[in-house]
Amino acid sequence: MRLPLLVTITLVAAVTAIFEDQVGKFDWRKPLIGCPARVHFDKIGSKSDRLLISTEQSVLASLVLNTGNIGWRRIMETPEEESTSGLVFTKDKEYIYSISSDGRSARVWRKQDGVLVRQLTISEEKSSVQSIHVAHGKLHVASGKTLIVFRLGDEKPLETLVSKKQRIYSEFFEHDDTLLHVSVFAGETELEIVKINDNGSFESPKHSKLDSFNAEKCYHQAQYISCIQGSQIQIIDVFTQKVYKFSADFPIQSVIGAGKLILARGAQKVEVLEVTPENGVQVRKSLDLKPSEAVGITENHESVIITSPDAIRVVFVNSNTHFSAKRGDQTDQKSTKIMENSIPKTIFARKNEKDWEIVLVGDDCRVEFVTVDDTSKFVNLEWAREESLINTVSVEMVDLPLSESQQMIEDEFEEEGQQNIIAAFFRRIHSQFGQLCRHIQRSVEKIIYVVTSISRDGNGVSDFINSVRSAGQMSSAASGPFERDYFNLRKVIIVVTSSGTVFGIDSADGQYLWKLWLGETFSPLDSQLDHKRVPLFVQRTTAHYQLDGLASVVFSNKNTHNGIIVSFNPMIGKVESRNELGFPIKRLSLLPGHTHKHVFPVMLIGKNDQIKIFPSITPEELHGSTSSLHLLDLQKEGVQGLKVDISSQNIQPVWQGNLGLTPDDEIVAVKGKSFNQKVHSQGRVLVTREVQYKYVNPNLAAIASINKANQHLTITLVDIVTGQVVHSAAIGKAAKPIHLVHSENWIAYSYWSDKGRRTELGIIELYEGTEEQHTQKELFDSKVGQKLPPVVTQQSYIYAQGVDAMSVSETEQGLTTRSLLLAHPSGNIHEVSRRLLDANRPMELTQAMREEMMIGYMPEIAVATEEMINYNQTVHRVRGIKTSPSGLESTSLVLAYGTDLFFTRLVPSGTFDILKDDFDHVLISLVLTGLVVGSYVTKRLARSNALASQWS
Amino acid sequence: MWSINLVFLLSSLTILCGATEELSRTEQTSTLFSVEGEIALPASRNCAKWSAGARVHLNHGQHVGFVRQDCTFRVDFVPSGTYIVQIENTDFVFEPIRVDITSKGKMRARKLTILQPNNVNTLPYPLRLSSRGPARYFRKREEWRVTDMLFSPMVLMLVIPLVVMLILPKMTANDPELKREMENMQMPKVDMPDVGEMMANFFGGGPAPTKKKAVTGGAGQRRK
Repeated sequence: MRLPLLVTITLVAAVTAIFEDQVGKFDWRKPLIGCPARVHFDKIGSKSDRLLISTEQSVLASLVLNTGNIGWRRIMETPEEESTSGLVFTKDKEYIYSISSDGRSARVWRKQDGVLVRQLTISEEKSSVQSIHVAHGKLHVASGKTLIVFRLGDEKPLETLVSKKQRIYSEFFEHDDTLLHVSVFAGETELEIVKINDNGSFESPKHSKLDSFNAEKCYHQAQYISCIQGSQIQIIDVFTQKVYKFSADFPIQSVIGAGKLILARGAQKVEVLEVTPENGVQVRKSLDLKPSEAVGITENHESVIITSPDAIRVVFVNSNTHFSAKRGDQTDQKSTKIMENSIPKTIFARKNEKDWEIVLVGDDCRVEFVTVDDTSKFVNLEWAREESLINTVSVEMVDLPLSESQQMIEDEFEEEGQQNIIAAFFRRIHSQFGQLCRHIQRSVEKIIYVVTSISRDGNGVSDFINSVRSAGQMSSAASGPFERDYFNLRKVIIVVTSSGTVFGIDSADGQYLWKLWLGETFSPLDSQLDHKRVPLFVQRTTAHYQLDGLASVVFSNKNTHNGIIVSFNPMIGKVESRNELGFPIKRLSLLPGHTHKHVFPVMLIGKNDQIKIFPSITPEELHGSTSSLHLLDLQKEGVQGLKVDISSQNIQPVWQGNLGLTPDDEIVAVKGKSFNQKVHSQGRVLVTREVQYKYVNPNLAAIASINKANQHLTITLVDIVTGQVVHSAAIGKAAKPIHLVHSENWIAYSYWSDKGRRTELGIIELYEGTEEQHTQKELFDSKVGQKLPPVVTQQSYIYAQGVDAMSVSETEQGLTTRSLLLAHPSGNIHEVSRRLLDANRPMELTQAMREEMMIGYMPEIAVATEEMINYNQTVHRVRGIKTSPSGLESTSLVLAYGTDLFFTRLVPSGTFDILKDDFDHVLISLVLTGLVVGSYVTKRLARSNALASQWS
Repeated sequence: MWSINLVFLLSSLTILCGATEELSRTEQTSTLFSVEGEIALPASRNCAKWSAGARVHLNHGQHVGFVRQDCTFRVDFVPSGTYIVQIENTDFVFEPIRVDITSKGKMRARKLTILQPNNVNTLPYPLRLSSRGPARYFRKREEWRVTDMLFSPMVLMLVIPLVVMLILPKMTANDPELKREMENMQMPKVDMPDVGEMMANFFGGGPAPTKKKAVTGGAGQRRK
């Protein structure tokens, strides 16, 4: 009995896997490292230059300096508190030494490939005050209270010193073979300076008194600590314990330095200071600059780098000379692509024999590597990485506009019935002539492509076939990005990040089409469930070919906390409008009705229930669609349902309650249904040939809450309009992480079962029963009471992996069996068909059920590597998976975002509506010609045969 | 040499850092432990390279460790409890192991039976995880085989008519008795060559003299 069952499962599974030669054909991955916090220039061996970077997302990576590609990348534990300082690390010739797991351990990595060599324990106490230094064949680490010395190549500590108090500052200084550890304890303004001897032992500490100390306002370099106090700067030489003071005539914003030079930056001025024992602090140079310019210092040369949005200036400290190079990138000037970048925030620069190598890190986490030399006029942009994508929070996929020929067809039927028959005839002829011209043009392009590729690649038969095949794909990739392809598989992916950037990405190859920078005052919205939220709405799709598409992002002003809404064209990223509201935003929603310009307005509700609608909608336009909107509002205690009257702009609570939740219950997820989701079939055919109708309530919200006291997970299904609890289920001994998916008439959820020590997946399906309850099947009305409560079937399955994110596939008509996508912490994305995660899998299979291809219940949903949609292209720390329908019913487009971005096409039930991509056109044409030739030859043969037999 | 003896963080640190009084006092109250183990790869694979892409997960990422170049790993700062140890990598499939740490730091490793969590099937500790095999992500393309080619319906369509038309008459030509028998058998199929000819005429497009058809027909009749 097991065998046929297994066979069916393997059959289902086999459909999902891809062939090896399909790798990269319709998927792409963008590995990311995050926003750099610490950057070191480095060399591996004698030639290959690398950049060693630790980022705000606790990733340690080595980038190839020439290309900007990731040499290797290690993803560490996420720190408990969010910090922007990145992992603390140091390096020597062969290894990198980093402090991780909240300052509790040090790891030694091989520089070349990022392999862990050793793992050293510092202490069990967590601390964010860390420093590390390698010198004299020893590794010195300070973290929190602990100061510890290891001999290189040894895992046992040589010396340990634990102080009684917590440190708030800690740094190592080395000068002329003397090594010092300087620290400041909490609540003190005294520096404690400990000398570390060559054998690793500590000398008794010396103390140096300061007026005040704020670790965040201090910068350390070679032998100095320089701290800002308003317009004054305090410089401490840690070796002589002398304190120098310098007063500028402007408030100092930041201080940086290298070697002997210290740069004190004000809003409009930079002072280059130098400290000498004889003369104290001296101003070497004063530079004027604009507030938008960033200042950096070359680490191995006495020169200052000043970058503005359009130029880079290099100023020599020693002489009076300087030179500047224009930043205008040559390639970007040619195209009209909108690429808005923020101004650089931090500059890391180094001089080699010929030129300056500069790494610029912007507020938008764009990492740019440029070189300048004193002769060239232009800045040479070597590469740039858009690292803000690691903070992706909202994703939408927008169709490309109709192609010219599709537009012509639309044109043809646009004014139908208004003109006479002859005009219509001419229009038809005109549009068909246009189509013909277009087709000829395309064919010529293809032929040229084939000819050039043959002359390039060689002249074998297989080359020829390959180039003919690729010509078909070429046409879609090369002819401008703004045209819909035949199956509408190519889209523009709009990605919004919590760093304040918006990207338009071509789904065909992952190229950036445009980029928007939302400004320095950008701050994401806060919400109760997920902290950073930057909602993105597609207000007008590109289906209206006379009108451009329109999309909007909503965020808040960092300073005033008022809401800002920015509308833009999703195809080219051109900003249409930017409006700042007079109030902070509490919640927001897209209205179901559209204006006469086909724009779906966004409704923004402020903290004091102010309502603003963008763009404004007249009551006439609203007529026909709903005039009020029902919202679910989570409050500290309980939940309430709100009714928003759009025309009179007033909000009133309709119902209020706690849904049976106690104060111990913490709401972890709320999922409604998107109002444009399509449910293809209204029912499910049972084995008994009866139809079970689905309970498809568009107003249904699923609320998952977990009880802290007794570890009960409660799933409550509530009708938002009436507040009626449709169903409630409780699961004992459950724990986070909890993920919830709500689609059609079912809710799938995952949770960690403490009892079974495993992840479990649950599914709830709602049916109205075998009788139709609604006379009007197209419309569901929550206010019409139902005769019977919905029939609920539910089932739980064991799942052998953890779940980071959960999503469901989306197709155009909703006809294809849906698949659930589960992201594992190990970086895989697993596709589970709804046929397996089904609440109606029978415990015992009868013959009739087997004929219906039903799969019997098995407690476990197996995880096979073949079912990973991202095969070995792992995606770590997935925060969300966005699915979007394509023009083909079988195909769903998927973008998973986390530490990496991964895009692919998903075929949950196989590609049933197009030919297989390995369909052999050559063989079928060969056979056809063979048949024709064969019949001709046999005709001849038959004739001669007949003649011969007549003679005989 | 890396010893596979179980060394708790507790004891190790008290022995090594015994000099510092304060430290040893904090260590006595310590409730954090280390999970150690070793990974066995197939002999063909070098661990130093492979471990660059590998991590160790406890309870699906609750605690993370890295694999050293000699294929050993240690996950530090783990409080007592039950953990599932998994190896994250893209090349091999590993069986997960369940590890129980008592509040005193006693370790017990057992085979993870996800369907029956109470089944105890003890494994040695420190852990030793060996790969179950390489991870297969792809379906295999059908390879080109002669038999496949011959039995494909399109080729059959080409070959069988050829056999019938060319080889059968040759075979029957040597054996007059068989020939006669065949002709008697083929009586109802008299129309067959006509259809073929019609097709040939249609595709060939050349002049199709009806005269020849008559001749063929006549020949057939005469043979009878």
